[in-house]
Amino acid sequence: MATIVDWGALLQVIWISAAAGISIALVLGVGIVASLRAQDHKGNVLALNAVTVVAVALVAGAIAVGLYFIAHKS
Amino acid sequence: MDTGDVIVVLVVVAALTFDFTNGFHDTANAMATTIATGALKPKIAVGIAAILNFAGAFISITVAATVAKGIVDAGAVTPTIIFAGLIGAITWNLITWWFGVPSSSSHALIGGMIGSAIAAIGTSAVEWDGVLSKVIVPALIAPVLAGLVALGATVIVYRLIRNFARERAERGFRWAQVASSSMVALAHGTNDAQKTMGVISLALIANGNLSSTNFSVPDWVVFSCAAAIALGTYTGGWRIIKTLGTKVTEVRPPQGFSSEEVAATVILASSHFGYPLSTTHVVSGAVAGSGVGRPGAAVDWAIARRIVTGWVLTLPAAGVMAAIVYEITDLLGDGWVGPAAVTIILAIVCFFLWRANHAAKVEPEEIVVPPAEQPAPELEPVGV
Repeated sequence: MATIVDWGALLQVIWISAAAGISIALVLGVGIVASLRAQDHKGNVLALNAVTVVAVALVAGAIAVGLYFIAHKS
Repeated sequence: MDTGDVIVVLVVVAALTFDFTNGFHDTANAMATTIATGALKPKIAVGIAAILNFAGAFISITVAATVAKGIVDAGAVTPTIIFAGLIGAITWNLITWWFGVPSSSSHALIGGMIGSAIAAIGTSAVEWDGVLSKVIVPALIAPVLAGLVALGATVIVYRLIRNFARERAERGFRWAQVASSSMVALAHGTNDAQKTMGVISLALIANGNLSSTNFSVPDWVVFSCAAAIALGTYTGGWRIIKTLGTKVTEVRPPQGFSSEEVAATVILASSHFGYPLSTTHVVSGAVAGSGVGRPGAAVDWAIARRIVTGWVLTLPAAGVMAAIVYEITDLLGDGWVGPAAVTIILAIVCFFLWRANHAAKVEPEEIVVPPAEQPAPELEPVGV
């Protein structure tokens, strides 16, 4: 079985899935929290808005990587 | 047109019928949680899923090549064997749809192909190494992986938003949920439409219409498979959507986002390496995992057990049905009479099933969470 199953590829699937799945949730969660704090804050909210923009951009980047994965299956 | 060509035509009809059932069976994978949370209206959700499934079918043929070459011996199977495999898969898909069980269409197809190949030739016709490495091991790992990662992602998301009113915090996640569900729908199109392409290509190879050494999928096969899965998806398998969206666990937008984005990453990472992975297993695992991860949520483990039982039974049950279908066609001779008779019987069964479904229909509105659980009135669903 050790020779039939490509364990290296499966391990890659596992770590890529875990890293990407957790990271995307974390990044978008931080972005949404920054947006909510910006709405509640009365002063300068430039930094909070910047965090939201960066978070949304990172998630958009993750979607682009996903599309690349779809288009370039090995 | 000789006998072989007539059987190939019947195989194509059966394959496209399977593709259609695959579409309405698996609409739930992408859109069940999105519909349940009210992020999208049901008809808009299935419309988006249908378009993305159609588009996804054109992107790559890696999985089609895997199905055509990696599961049964392409040089040994005949179009009649493939036909019987497809009928076994369709039958199992219809049974599980009727009972609202989100079982894997991919495993039904693979089980059907294995069952009919064993009935006709014997176990030597099955590429067991391919079945083990490309189907069974990934299928065991994928739902567990998706469940654990979705659990972690849901815990993180709910810890981040714990100090905010639920209705406010959920708004952003509803938009994100639409994006993550759309990715799952696109990935589903690239995986599942290609499996049918692979089966039709296998029949064309067996009949000598395609070269087995230089594998390629004809354009008409790609287009017809894309259209069949998109049409099936738009029909909406509301019974399974209801199970996955409301019965496994009550789904809220942050949780729905977590489960769908994790499902998308697992499916995309797996398909990147050419595994014909079941989107149903991944999404079901992710939904259950997110149910465990959300504070206050509960997973209905009786429903989860029923789903897992369906998964375990899918491969052997579709295989047994396909073997029976092959024996029936074999009894009626080597020609096209057997497959034609089975096609007519299937059409009659589908008609009565359609009538019975009409009498006991699951309406899309039944799937959306009860009014008391819906977000605040100012949060209009996306796309209205």
